[in-house]
Amino acid sequence: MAFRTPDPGPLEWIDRSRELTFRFEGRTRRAHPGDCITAALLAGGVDLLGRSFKYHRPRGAWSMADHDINALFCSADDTHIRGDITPVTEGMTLHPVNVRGTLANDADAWLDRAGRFLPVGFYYKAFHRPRALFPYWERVIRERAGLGRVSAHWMPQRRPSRFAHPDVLVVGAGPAGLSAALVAAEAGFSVLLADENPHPGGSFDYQWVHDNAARQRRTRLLAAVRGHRRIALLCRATALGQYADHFVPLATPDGIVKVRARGIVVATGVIEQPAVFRNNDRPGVMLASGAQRLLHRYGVAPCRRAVVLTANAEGYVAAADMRAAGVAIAALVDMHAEPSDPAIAQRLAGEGVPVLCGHTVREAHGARRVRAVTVAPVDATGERGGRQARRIACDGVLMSAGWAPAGALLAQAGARFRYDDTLAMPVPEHWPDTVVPAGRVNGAFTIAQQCDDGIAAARHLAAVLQGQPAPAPASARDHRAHGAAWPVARHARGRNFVDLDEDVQLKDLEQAAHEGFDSIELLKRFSTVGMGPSQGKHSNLAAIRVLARWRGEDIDATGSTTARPMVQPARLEDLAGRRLRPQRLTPLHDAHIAHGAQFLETGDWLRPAWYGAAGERGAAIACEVAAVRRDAGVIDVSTLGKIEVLGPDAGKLLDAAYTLRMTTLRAGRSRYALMVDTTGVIVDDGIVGRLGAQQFYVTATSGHAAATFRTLARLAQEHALDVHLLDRTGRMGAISLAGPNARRLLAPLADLALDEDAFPYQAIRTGRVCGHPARLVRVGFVGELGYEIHLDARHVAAVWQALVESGAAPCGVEAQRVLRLEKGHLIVGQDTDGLTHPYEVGMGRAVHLNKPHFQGRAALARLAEQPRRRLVGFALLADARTPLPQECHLVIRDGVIAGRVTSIARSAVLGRAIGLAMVDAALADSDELLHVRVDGDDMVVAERVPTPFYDPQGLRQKPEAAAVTP
Amino acid sequence: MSLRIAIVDDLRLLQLVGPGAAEVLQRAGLSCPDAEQQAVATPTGFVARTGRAAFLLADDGGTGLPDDGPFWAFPAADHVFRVTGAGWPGLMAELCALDPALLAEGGWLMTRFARIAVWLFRAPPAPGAAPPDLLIGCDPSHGRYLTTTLETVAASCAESRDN
Repeated sequence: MAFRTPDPGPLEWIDRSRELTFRFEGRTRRAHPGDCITAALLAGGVDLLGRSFKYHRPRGAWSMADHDINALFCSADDTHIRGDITPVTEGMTLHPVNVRGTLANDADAWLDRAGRFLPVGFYYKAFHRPRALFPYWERVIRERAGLGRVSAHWMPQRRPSRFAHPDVLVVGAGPAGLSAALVAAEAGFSVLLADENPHPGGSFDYQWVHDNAARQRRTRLLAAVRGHRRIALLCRATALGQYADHFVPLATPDGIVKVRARGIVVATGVIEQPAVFRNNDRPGVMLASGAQRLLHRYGVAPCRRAVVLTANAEGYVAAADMRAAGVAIAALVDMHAEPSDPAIAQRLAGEGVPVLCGHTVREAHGARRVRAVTVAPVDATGERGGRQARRIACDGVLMSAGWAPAGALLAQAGARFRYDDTLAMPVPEHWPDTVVPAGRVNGAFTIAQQCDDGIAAARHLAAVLQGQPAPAPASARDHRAHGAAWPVARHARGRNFVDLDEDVQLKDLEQAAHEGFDSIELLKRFSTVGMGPSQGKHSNLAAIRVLARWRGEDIDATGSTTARPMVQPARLEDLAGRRLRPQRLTPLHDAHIAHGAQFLETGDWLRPAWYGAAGERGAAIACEVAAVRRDAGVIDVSTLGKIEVLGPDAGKLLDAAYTLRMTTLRAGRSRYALMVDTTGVIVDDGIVGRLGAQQFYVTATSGHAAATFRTLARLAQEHALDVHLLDRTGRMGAISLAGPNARRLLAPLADLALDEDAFPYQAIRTGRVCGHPARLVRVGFVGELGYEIHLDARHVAAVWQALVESGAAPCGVEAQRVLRLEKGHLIVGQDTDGLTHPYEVGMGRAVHLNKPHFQGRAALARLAEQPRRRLVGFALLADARTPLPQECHLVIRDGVIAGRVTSIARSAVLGRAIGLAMVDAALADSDELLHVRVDGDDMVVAERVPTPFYDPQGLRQKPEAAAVTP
Repeated sequence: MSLRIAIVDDLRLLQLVGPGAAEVLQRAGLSCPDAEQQAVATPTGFVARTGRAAFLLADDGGTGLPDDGPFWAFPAADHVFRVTGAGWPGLMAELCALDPALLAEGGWLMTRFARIAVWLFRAPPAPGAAPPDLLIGCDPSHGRYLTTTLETVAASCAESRDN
């Protein structure tokens, strides 16, 4: 049973003078400030901390290094709280995850006894027959699977992120990282030293606590780092990954710090690997380094009587540490034939501790926690060599069987690893010049080796960053064994776990390999080894060893899985960051508010939908439509793209970009402009107006303006054209004035002739409106005499105000959509989709295939032959009381989908509901009625109607020439 | 670490484009940056070179430009902010991925800031004056968004400092 040591350790993180209270499983518990949840529970006598993922086996503390995924907890508003690193706070209320009932009485504990029926990959092999029962099994499995529950009352939270740009990022503030940071800073570089722990020091603080020389070196290094003006120390900062160009996001309690450094020193240390033996997952079995963290950081001894299983000197140090803290060492079991640390071995033996070399632990005993272990000799291959097994009573097993490099950042930077047989772990073999390993991750284990390696890494990096020849790498790697080559003990009754995240046993991996999943990537995906919350930090190396032995290959030949970001889980509120949602307002926004506009979002823009109360949508839109048809209305079209195309090759560029020929356009004229992509799909439309020999003015749809500008810029580069482009979309405003009285309203405000001869349809002119320089274009989008007035954003409000005061009715986007639908004009992106080409929407006339080249020409030449869909007009047969189909409602023919509605509206001027639908060519070519399936599976019938629905002769563009009334 | 943000409304901005744009500026008595993405301060503002033959002129409206020559001039209604105080790198760190150290005194950057396109100009200080101001210019359609964002982030920076 764990216990709080009576005397504080020299480097403890807790404040023993104060106490906190928190609740766990309904009971009040005590902790000291600085305690993590696991430490506080252990100190309070709770050693059953969780239930395993699959078999619901009892689990306890393990690494105390942010990898204890069997000690996860949830609170009222959070889940997956990692007990081994999360500090206790006053009043915290916690529950375990993956439990039905309580930890001690878990209703799903029977699954452990049913384990033989749940072999590796059982879910791939069961439940699919009989097929009808699959939904039942799916529901059962879903109810049982998963860790914790997410509150349905979850409130979105965000934590802002921030950027940092040090010259050098050092990840890990242990001996190597501290040394590297100082050298880099002394070389003149700004350094960000990041460590995942609340305090710097790394292994200084739990593995070398009783080494006086190490303590003195730690003190010196920390003082120097803290006092250096070029070093910024950031604790509780976990590096989440290494992305391109030295981009490393650091997760901190204050949000993510996005670090972009010129070079990185990876001093992330090593991850202790467990030994594999029967019941190696029982509470009380833990990593020796985990026990040291528990003891030296939180003042909690993991047990009263321990067996230490080791294959390196670190295990001996751990045993000595525990013994000094009052833990009895029942035996020190060394997997090597000779003591890994003869000096400590001799001392412990002298104190009466049995030191058993050439032995291993075969089995742990105890139902809820460890009560004893069976140890037995092993031969040189790691297999059981003799029959002299013995049982040793204990309540804790501390394992120090070997290490794996915490090298994910290096791997993501492109480093390659090889297996070092002496160290019994992978070590970096090749790495980029600017992402350099240092310390234990690089196989340097003693304090001197770690510091030397950190210094060498920083010197190398400094030379590279200064453009100088990099010094030859001076390896500080250790030459002593730090692990066992095969820390695995077979047992006829199994339950020897390789992966505690996913409850993967030795036999599971061997069975998977036997079934043909015998590459490491396949093995991982079939068995799920390494796919749990700790992402294989304690299991990948063992799985590789198992597969290597099964295949009869060495570790390097067997390979490894890919270490992708994120290295550690990141919180959603950190990933969300500050809410930055750019929204664009037109220069008429305040005028719209003054007119009582209801707004809608169209892309980034906020546009007036209609003017009037929210509940008067239909009536307001009808009034606005009627105003345009009978008198005049103004519509804010400032969101249109507005692009200047200038220079000798301006026309050539537009010829290359649009389907129509633009070089033939005369100055003072405009032309419809249709843009397709290289596959012939419509992506944009607008107008091109020519203002001079080398000056064109291009408009684009609101949502595609930026993309159109990019396309023009790309084509200018590709064709090596002498052209200048300016995107003035936001810097200019635009008003569409339309209606039979448009000319009468505009004339007094403009300084140019507006009559039909001087300013015909599709002409473009420059002049002044209300005294401000402006461009005017005769347009007909809404089917009436119309002008678009484009001018500087600062002046557009004055023109709008003058037009409104003259009698023009402000109209919103919804009215504009009805008006253009009546005219049969399509909206790119609404009546077209990601596959629509011009021939499907009756735009063949806008494609000049006789032009030798334009974007999409080759595709359109083929697509012209036989469109498979067509946009057709329709009118509903039903009366006004029938619910109106909605855009995207399906057109059904003979029971199958034959198209969809793209636009629909009730037309007051036509007295019926009209719309456009994209339908199959066979249906489009027939005279059949359209059957539209609306909400509730009702069918609405429509008849085909040719477009334009309204003013097909275009008479309303010349109101003075024909007495037309709507 | 004080930080003040003000809207600038006394700058005239003109975009000049074309092969003759540089010469026109020189004829008007203004210095022209030699390289793209550089700016030079003028007594009433600055001239920034935004492209091979593209410039942004900021002045008080008093610069007379000839109307002949192979160039085009367009008014630019950019929304301009003046950020004053030593805390501007903290503001940058929250909203811009680029290293503020790249923006030396007199420096010019066209970049993404708070997820929109902006230009940044760090005016050189007058002799004996306070640290130079940072000018941030954006498309006028983003003016209100950036105003709100700058005020919010500046307030949170101040709050975190106070804490």
